[in-house]
Order: sequence, then C-alpha cells, then structure tokens
Amino acid sequence: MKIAKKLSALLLVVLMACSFASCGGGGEEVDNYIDIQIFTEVNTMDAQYATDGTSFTVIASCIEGLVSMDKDGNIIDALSTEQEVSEDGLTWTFKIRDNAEWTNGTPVTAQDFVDAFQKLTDPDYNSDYQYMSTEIMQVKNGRAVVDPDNALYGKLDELGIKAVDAKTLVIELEVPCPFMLPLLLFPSFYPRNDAFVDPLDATKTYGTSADTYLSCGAFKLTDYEPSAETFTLEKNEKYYDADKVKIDGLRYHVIKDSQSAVLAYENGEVDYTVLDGSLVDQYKSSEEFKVLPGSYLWYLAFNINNTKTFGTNADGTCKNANVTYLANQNLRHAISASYDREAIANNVLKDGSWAAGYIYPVGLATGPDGQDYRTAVNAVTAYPDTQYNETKAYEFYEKAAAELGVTDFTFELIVEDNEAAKNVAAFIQQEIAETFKGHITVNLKTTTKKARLEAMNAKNGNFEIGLTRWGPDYGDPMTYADLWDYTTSSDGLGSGWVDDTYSAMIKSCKDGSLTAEERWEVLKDCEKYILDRAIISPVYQKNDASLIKANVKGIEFHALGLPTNYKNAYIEK
Amino acid sequence: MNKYILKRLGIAALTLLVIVFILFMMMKLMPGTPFNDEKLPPEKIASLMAKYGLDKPLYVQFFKYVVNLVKFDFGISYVINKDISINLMLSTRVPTSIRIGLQAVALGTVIGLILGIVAALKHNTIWDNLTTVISVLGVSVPSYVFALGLLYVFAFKLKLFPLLYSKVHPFQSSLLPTFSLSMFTIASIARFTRTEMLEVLDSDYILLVESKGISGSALIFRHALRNALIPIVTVLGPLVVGLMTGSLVVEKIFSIPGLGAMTTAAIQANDYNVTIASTYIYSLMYIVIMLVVDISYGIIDPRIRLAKEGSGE
Repeated sequence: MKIAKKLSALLLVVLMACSFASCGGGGEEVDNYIDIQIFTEVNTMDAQYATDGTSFTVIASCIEGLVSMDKDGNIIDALSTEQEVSEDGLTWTFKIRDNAEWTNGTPVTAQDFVDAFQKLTDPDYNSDYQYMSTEIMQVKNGRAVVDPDNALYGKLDELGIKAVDAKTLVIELEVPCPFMLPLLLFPSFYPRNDAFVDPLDATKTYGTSADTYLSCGAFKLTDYEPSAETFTLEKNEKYYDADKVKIDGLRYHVIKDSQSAVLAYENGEVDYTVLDGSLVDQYKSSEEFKVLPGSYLWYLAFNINNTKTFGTNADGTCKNANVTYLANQNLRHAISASYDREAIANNVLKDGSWAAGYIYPVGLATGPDGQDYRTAVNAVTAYPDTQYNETKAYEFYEKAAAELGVTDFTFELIVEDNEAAKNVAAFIQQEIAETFKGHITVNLKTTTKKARLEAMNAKNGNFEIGLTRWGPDYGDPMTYADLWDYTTSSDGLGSGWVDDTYSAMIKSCKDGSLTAEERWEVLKDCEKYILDRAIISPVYQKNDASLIKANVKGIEFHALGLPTNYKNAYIEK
Repeated sequence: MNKYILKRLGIAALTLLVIVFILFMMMKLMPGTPFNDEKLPPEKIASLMAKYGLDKPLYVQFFKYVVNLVKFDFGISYVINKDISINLMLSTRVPTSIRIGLQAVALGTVIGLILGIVAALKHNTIWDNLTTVISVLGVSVPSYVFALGLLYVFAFKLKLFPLLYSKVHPFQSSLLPTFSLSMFTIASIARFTRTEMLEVLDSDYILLVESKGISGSALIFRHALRNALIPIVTVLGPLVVGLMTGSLVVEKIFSIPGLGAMTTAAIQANDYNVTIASTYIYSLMYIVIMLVVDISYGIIDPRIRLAKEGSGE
C-alpha cells in the first residue's frame, strides 16, 4: 500500500508539472498576424516550377506580377505601371515600376521578367507549366525553342521577350492573345532574379529558407523550411505599396485533419480554415461561414474510342465492348440525364458547390459584352439534355438499347480515393441504378489519384467512365474548350474522341483570324458542340466552404488567375 | 559477445539491402508515375521521367540508388518538394518523430511498470481491477481516438495544452501526442508486468528470499522485477515500432512535422525517393531496436549472454 501511495503521488506530481509547463504556450496572443490553415505543405517556392494552389498562394504573397487584380476582379497595375499593345495585337510593351525592389535591395527590372519567361520555357528546366508560355500565351518562337527538331531548340535568347532597357519590357507573340492581361496574373509569369537564384538553384537550395528567397511583394519569407508545417511571412517594408499593408504578416499552419482544423479555428489558433463538407451543417448558419468561389469543374469522362489499352477488333472497334457502347451518343445522354446534380451539390457535397449542367464555370471569363459567360449563356435552357430528367434519360436509354441491340449494360466508373469524390461517385451509381431500373449498372473502381490519371490519360485510355476534374489555367473558355481537341498536345484526357470539325473551331479561335466578338461566339458553339454530343457529363463546380473570423477583413478571393490576396487584409480591433 | 554483435550487424545490413530492393520494386509496381497530373500530357510525363533518369533500365536505377544510399544520399523529391534534397527534408523531421516516439516509450514504460507492479502486489483488489480496465482500454482503443479525445478535452475545453504542435514550444505541444501514443505501451507493459510479477512472486525462490528476511523494495526491485523484465523487454521492441507507425495518424491530428506526415504525403503522391527514404528509415529504426533488444537480454540475464556466447563459437 505504501508503494502504491508513493507511486500515485509521484504520478500526480509529474502530471501537474506537465500541465503547468504548458500554461505559457496555450494562451491566445493578440497580434497583428493572420493565421491561415492549409491542408497541404508548400510544394515549392519557385514560381516558375510551382503547380499547386497552396504554393501559388504563398508565392503570390511574396512576389507580384506585371499586373494584379482588385477585389472586384478588375486588372490593376502591379510591377508594371503602363501596359501597351500594338495595333496588330502582337507586341506588348510594359513599363516596369520605378520604386519596385527585391528584399536584397536590387531593383526589379525588365530583365527579371525575361529571366522568368526564359526559365519557364527552358526545355532543360522542363517546368510543368512550360505550355503556358509556348501554347497559351504563344510567345514568339516559344514552340520552336522547345521543339527538339527545330534549329532554335534551346536558344532561349530567341524567345520573343526582351528588356529594351532596365525598365521597359517587350513581349512579342505569335498570334494576338485576347486574354493577355488576365493571363499575366498567373504566378508562372512572375519575375525571377537570376543573379540571385541561379547559384542557389545549382545547389538545389533556392527557396528552402528565408535566406535563400527574394520577395518583391507585400510579404517576405521570414521563417521557412521545405514542407514546413508552420511558417511565417512578414510584411515587406521594401514593398512599393508597404503603406497600404495593414497587417504585420501571415502565419501558415498545415493542418491535414479537418476535425483538428476546426478545433484550432474555434480555439482561435487559426483565423481562416477551409471546412470539410461533413462539418458544413454545424456551421452553415454562422456569420463566419463563407462560400468561396472555386473554378474546378468535376465531370464524368467517357472512353468513347480510346483503344490504346484494350486493343481493337478486325473491324476497328474496341475490344472492350463497353467502350463501343459508350461511342453511342444516346447512351451517353442517358447517363448524363440520369442523376440529380442538385442533390449532389446540396446533399452529398454540402460545401457550397454548384450543380453544373455546363462546362465553362461561373466566374471563368467575361465576354466582349462585359458579361460573365455563364450569365450570358444559361445552361438550363441552352443544354436541356445535360440536365437531370429521369423520364428523358430513360427515353435516351431505350433509343440506345434499340440502336445497339443490347438491353443491359454494366460499366466501370473509376474514381480517386478522396472522400468527396467517392461519395459523389456512389451517389451517381445509385441514381443510375434507380433511373434505369437496373438496366444500366455502374461498378465503382477506387484508386489513388495518380493511378486514376494514369489510367485516364490519352496514352492509356484504360477506363470506361471516369469521375475527373479540370481547373482553369487562365480566364478564357479556351482553357476548357481545347481539352477535347485531339490535335492539341496539352490534352491530358483520354476520351479518344476525334472530330475534325471541332478541331477546326478551336484552331480558328487560336490563330487570330477572328474578331473578339466572333471568337466569343465560336467558343459558345464549342461548349454546345461538346454537350450536344455528351462527350462529357458535367457534374458540379467545386466551391469551398470556409470559416473566417469576423474581425478579419479584406482578404480577396478570386476563382482563378490571381491566388488569394492578403495585401489589403486587416484585423479589426 | 563482440563476435555475436558483429554477426548481428552483418545480418542487419543484409536485411536492409533486401528491404531496399523490395521497396524499390514495390514503388515501380505501383500504378501511375510521380508525374501524373491533369495538366500534364503523356509526352510531358515521358520527358520528366527522362529528366530524372526514370526511363533507364531498372537494374541501373537500383544500382545507382543503392550506391547513393550507402553514402546516405537519399536523392531529391519529385513531387511533394520538387527538386529539394530529401536529406534536407529529413533533417528536421526525423529528430521530431524520434523524440516524440521516445517520449511516448519512456512515459509508457514507466507508467506501465508502475501499474503492473501495483496490480501484482495488490492482486485481486480495486488497484488490480483498475489496471486491468486501463489495459483493456489501452490495447483496444486506437491511439488516434485517444488523440482526438485528449485534444478535445485538454486542449480545446480546458485549454491546458496547445492544440497543435508548435516549433516554439516543442516540449509542451508534444505532451498530448506523447500521452495518446503511450496509451498502448502503458496497457501492454502493465499487462505483461502484472502477469510476470505474479508468476515470479509465486515462485519458490521468492519464498526463499523472503525467508532470508529480505522484503519491501529490495525484494521487488532486485529479485522479483529483474526476473519479470525479460518478457517485457521482448515486447518493448515491437511496441516501439508500433509507436512509429501509430504516429502516422497522430502526427496528422496534431500537425506534427514528423516522418509519418511526410510518408503519407509521399505515398499518395507516388514520390518514389521520399517513400523509399522514409520507409527505409522506419526499417532501419526497427532493425536497430531489435538489435538493442537482443543485446539487452544479455545484460538483464547473464544466462542468455552465456548461452549466446556458447553458440557464437
């Protein structure tokens, strides 16, 4: 008994000591920093190399582009103060801001942008977003520089971007780019000071700590290491607009568990968190609950004629009978009309996502008429066959069954192992079974995202139906439209659909032969062309439900282009 | 003894090589490449594979990898930290994981031993029953449930501890994860100690010791516990490894910048080098721990040491 008493006393002392020790750390400090929750670590701080949203957001807080965007989505000056385009739309001239400098004191010059564009395009550097300069902006000689068979291959000096003097930048294009300024919001085009970066790049240490990174934007890296779980950006006093930055900095916290994230938010350890769909009901009525605009379109892709994996019969049809069935337009329409998109958005996802009976997302692009594309083209009236309608779906099925001479179908739907995607796929599976009274069955195949993309890429086509997504790279419908043009190399999707009429339509939008208004009409036709043929079945436009503390104001969220902007954010005292 | 240790080291090195080979093959057999992304067309993926030498024959890749591994160069990450040296990534994460793991083992062993001894001495009393209840709970409830529970009660409701791991207060913020990780160790150690102690206390030689007039702490610690320790040391090895794997989820809950968090991210991203590097370190730790366990047998019980020396000839 004596020992037991002694031991339990000892235990108590240890426990108490532990909890006292923690008193210093648990309290909330009131300071002028915004604490931000993120789900994944920063992948890279190299603007020309980054591809993921988290990295882009942090980079964009540290480095600015030629232009920026205000809270209403208008293009405003940033590192350039004048933007001029030539009569033929092929030459852009930018005046670089005089008072812009990097954190090490060197001024930001036109050469920094030349360095950035060259690095982005450099075939040796092999950035994932190389095509942003060669294919999307179509910088002069861009394609030639990356084409191993061309005499200009690797000759980066031949790229159509020049520093005329320290403060004058000229970009030459192959064809006019109607969305040039919005495109420049994309972090891949942000400046890069090669004199500083190159020696670090050689040792693979660029952007791995505060000392190995240069900023010229509103914030600078002060405490960072690769894939840090917590790191800090502090206000950059050398920023040309530093007077307008009201907060002392941003603190990022990687919290991968959505439960912990919400507890941290409730506890005041973070000011802003993205909310998991399962937690939305609890917070829906809170004042701090906000739905932030997103721009990813999730859709069902059909393997229409990609025979790379399955092989072909003597008559040229796919050896996988299901793929030959999916080549039937009525069958695809049947599937597309069979499930309730509203129910998916409101009951399955619950994160503020919208049912999408369309391709080009809301908020993606503004037409020459100054209207958002989706306001101008109402999907429900324009594409009735893409909307949920069980009766119609069954009629489509009956037509398809008659044409194919088959009454019962079983397809495999490939889906990645993320909670939301799996729930959506399971719901679609159930809806299809109900709508077609068991005549069409869908089996789910769950894989990792990487494996799904491998199966669904154009080279393999190892799938029947796949739930996949696409996020826009720039604010123009073309970022979606050219996905289904089999002639463009940026096509990462493997439907195997080949249509020369469609490719001609896409080409006419890219070669500069149309006026802005004509081009816009063709882009409308493109969306209709795809949906009339049910080449894909759009499901939903992903939005983010989130919680932001009531006293934190002025964070600017944009659906695309410029990442979340904290420059004008402030904390109400 | 030295010869025995040398022999064990040799076997350990060979085991590690086999592990690397299996890991390497498993990575190659996983569907997809590190570069699969909506935005990347197949030609681009192929050119990235070429950039990193992943298009070369497997044996070339493997040989090169092993040569670098011997030099403790784990290469660079392809995805989760593009082109950044893995050694740099590991340099902060491994110490954090090991520290929290060791804290949990230490805490778990101490508390487990105390509970076990008390239960054995107070056999069939309320203390004994309490220990049994704690053991059953600790073994059957997974560590992340404890983690979430502790997080909710002590960090969120009572605000006694920080909610998330913080570099500024590394010790305080690691206490809750340590507690949640140590529950399983507490339970297992308590159970084993209790059983072993009961057996030893019942034995003739303890009767002999008692008859010689030795009692109290001398009896328990010098005679009973030392004999009861051998099976406990045996289970301690796997327990430590269990802590490392259990920490995958606990690290996620508390946002600890450890090895586990990095491993899960790497596996999901098909980041070959990072996955191999972190699993390799897990294996290395496992082998080292088993080695330590084997050697410590000899220290606790001279009979085993002598037997091993005999067989080592």
